[in-house]
Amino acid sequence: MRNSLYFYYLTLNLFKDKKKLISTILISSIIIFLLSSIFFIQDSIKASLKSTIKNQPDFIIQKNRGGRQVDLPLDWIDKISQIYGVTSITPRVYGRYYFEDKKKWALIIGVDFLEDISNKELEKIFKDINLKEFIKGSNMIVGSEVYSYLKSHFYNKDYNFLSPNGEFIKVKIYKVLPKELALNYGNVIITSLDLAKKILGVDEDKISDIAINVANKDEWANIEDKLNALFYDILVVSKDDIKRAYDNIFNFKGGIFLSLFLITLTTFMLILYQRYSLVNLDEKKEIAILRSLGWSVKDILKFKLFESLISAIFAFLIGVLSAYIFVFIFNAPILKDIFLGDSNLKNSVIFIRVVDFSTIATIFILFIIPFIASILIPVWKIAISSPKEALK
Amino acid sequence: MIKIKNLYKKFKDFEALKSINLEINDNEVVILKGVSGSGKSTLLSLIAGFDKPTSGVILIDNEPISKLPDLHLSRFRFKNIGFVFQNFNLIKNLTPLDNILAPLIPYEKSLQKAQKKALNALKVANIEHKAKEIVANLSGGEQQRVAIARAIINSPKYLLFDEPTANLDKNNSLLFLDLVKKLKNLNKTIIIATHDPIFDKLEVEFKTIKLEDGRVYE
Ligand SMILES: Nc1ncnc2c1ncn2[C@@H]1O[C@H](COP(=O)(O)OP(=O)(O)O)[C@@H](O)[C@H]1O
Ligand SMILES: [Mg+2]
Repeated sequence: MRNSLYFYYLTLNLFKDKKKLISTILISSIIIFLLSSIFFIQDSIKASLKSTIKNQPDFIIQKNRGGRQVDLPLDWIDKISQIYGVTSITPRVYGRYYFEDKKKWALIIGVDFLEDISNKELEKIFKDINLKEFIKGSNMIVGSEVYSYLKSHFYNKDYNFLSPNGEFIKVKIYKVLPKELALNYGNVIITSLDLAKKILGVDEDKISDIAINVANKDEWANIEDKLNALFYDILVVSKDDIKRAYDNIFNFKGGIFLSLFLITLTTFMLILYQRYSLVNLDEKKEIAILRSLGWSVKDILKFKLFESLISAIFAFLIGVLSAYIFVFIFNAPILKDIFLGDSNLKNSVIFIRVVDFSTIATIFILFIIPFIASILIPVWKIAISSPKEALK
Repeated sequence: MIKIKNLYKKFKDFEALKSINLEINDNEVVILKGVSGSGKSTLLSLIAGFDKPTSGVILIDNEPISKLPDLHLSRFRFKNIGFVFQNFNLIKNLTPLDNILAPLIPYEKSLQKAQKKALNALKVANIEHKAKEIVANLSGGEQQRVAIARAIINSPKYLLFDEPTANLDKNNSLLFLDLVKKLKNLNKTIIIATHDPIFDKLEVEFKTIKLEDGRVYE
């Protein structure tokens, strides 16, 4: 076998000091585990938000009075449909519903199934549902967080909503949304448009807002102008506005991720510094011995590079794999609280599996460069000094 | 052949070697004598290229060892020079066999060939029976023989010993003298730095060089 001697000596050296090998791999893989977990969660949330934004309607039209959003008349729909270029108009009814103890709330979304559904994610959800049956009865589709709340209060099949005019409305739990949608739909209740109006106390001839889609993006500014000309007390929210709002929230959270990440990295450096700035006496002596036996500085560096690469790759695989299991299978306990701390749905969020090759590459580079450097620099320093000094 | 011309070695203000001029012929045995601190180890380490002289030259087979760049020097050392340290400098948690493979790693590819060479060297140094024990468990005399085996694994022409009997009892010291005879018969050029009078009993022809305060008195 070619190079069998080199390989033999490499493994011999790796396993010669098992304590050192295990501690190096252990410390490194913990760091990589933390780094990868943070990156995986970040990527997953980013992907969820991205798909939310993608599924938003192009414009949302709201009515404002005194800076507060109020319901708007149903007949605006007819007026909007006159605007050339608008491809779909969806009247929407929604609002917060506070449960008895007032601590928990759900977002009730009324959907008019006779119209086009402007939200593509919802469209997916309704694909395998008998719509006619759903609309006819007093039914609701609930998010996973809402469902666990209801269940904990022994509402397993239906719930009695209390409308603003004091009426009880019994609504059957028709379906529970999968946990994978929890980040966006965890605390959502979907009902028919009429039922939502009743529960939220919206007048028969009113709606909360209107979502419209426009085929041609070049028309956006034009259509926004036309809408503003049509109604004087209107607020037009474009997809770009929503995207900006999400970006703001995410950048804020991104800051938290970044500081977490920096803390990890600093700890990593400190540990490595402690470990290798005092390259132990045995290692120092060994390098000097090898030099005295005819190893050049290059021979030493090459050997140590291979040696540290092997343990680094081991640690990397262990760290990334366990982070994958931790985030995507166990759903990142503890770390999740840090990421979604203020949210009212942290218990039912499931991180969708997104693993980006560039993320893995970033983690690898962030880890391997300081790791290898922290080993090779002190080794090089020892190797270039006279073996006579180190062998005293 | 080793030629040393006008060699000086300074450590800061202290002159450890002063104006050394020497010639050592092939297959010669040289006993480098002198009290502790006279400069014996310093001279040996300059000959082996572990350290650079302050001025002067050392030519080994016409190679200016003190002026070679690192890679060249390392290759030269591997091919031509075996060094046995006073405290042996073995890797204690490896076996003798694995210890003496170490010089071959950058140069030899086949594990089988290397192990064959190693066993052969252990045989010459009379320590093959302990080839697979852990070095830390061997006696001083045994460890020295492992160190000698490592020094001769690549059949270098020159062998340098620094205080080879300092860590040995009388019996082992006499065994070492026998080994020197054996090595001379293998055509080695041998330099032994020592202040041990036991070398008067050496049964081969040898030259004595006396060092005093960093100067040679032949
Ligand atoms: N690296 C060094 N720095 C300063 N002084 C040294 C160094 N190495 C040796 N010396 C000094 O040089 C002199 C000769 O040392 P050495 O060659 O070890 O003597 P010997 O081997 O004959 O006992 C001693 O006085 C010693 O203290
Ligand atoms: Mg000495």
